[in-house]
Amino acid sequence: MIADMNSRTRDFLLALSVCPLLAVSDTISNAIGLGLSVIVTLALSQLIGAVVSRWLDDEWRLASLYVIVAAVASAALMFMHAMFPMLQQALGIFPMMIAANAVVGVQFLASETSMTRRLIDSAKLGVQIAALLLVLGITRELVGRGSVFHDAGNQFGDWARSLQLFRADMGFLLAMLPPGAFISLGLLLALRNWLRDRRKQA
Amino acid sequence: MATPANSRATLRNSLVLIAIAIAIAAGLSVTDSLTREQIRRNEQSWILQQLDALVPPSAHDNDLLTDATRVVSADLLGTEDPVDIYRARKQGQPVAAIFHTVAPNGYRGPIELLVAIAVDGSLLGVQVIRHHETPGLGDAFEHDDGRWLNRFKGRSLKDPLQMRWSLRNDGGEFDAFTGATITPRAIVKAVRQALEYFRANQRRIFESAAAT
Repeated sequence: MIADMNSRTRDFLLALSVCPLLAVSDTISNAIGLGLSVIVTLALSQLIGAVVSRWLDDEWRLASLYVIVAAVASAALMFMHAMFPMLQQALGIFPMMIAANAVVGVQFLASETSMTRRLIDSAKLGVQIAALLLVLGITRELVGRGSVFHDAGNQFGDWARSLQLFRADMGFLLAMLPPGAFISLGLLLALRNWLRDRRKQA
Repeated sequence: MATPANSRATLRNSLVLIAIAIAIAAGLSVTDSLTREQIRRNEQSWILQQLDALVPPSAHDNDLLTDATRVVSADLLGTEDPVDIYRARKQGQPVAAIFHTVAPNGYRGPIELLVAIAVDGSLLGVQVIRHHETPGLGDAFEHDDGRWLNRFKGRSLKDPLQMRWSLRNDGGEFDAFTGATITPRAIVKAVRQALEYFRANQRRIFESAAAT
């Protein structure tokens, strides 16, 4: 019962924390870029947070975590600005939202006492979020633009070429718009629940 | 109630927090100084890339990025913000001026434009460099490699006449694109205003000192 509630809270928090990031999962390259930043920000904040929490009492840890998350997210943004300017331009202000995402993630995992456990968990959470963004990116780009890796050449260098499967103007516009991300997410969750229920019955 | 042990703990924790804050501030300013130069270079090379697409590098022999001037003219250019004007010259003779202007009344916020005007007052080209228009509708100027924007090429305040410099719906010459009127209206207006400003201030644009 408790384990079930825990996993439900976890699902809920995960879904909640990816919301700000959904809007820019419209192409695969954007989703990859954002996903990688989430992994790095989350793991790094968790690492620093775990180190400093040794010198702080319980009720003080949260305050330090907020500051750390904000700082790591800002630093990640500066590096993105410097190294992948086109990606930064495509993502706009949304990478800032990684901070919100990481706060939820870090806070959720902060109850864990063992440091390695915390690091592994935060890496896992980061990878999960990145994977979700990637799936959304693939779906939305395919449905919305009819292409795979649109603009990837711009963002990651010339070796990444885009692959156009069918003409972009035949694409389904809704998939490209921000609400399309939420609809896609809903469909994915429905699919997941359906698969789980079916497995339970079998 | 604050017992001595309690307030000691508070003091200790506060000091640790302050230390963390200081360490973070230091870390961030180091990151900033590491990345700042690169970010500036990225922005410059990106702008230059856009400028080169409008005025071919062979048409001028000066450095566009350093030979720029900045003007503010809310009534003529339609924006309160300063507008950068890059000047292309060949052997000291003016070739073209490129306005980095803003169409303030886009559907979802300002649209940043580069408007390149040759010395004879005709348009060399128009490029949208930053916008927030609705994907799939308002950003249709990006379709087919910017076919809609290419229509401005060669136009001037004589072609069409100044009073016809608006959308067809508004009694002008220019087609809107499917599903959007506000975006093309904003762009047409901003381009016309740049042309008008150029006509009124041409001499001053090329003679003023570089200001960047």
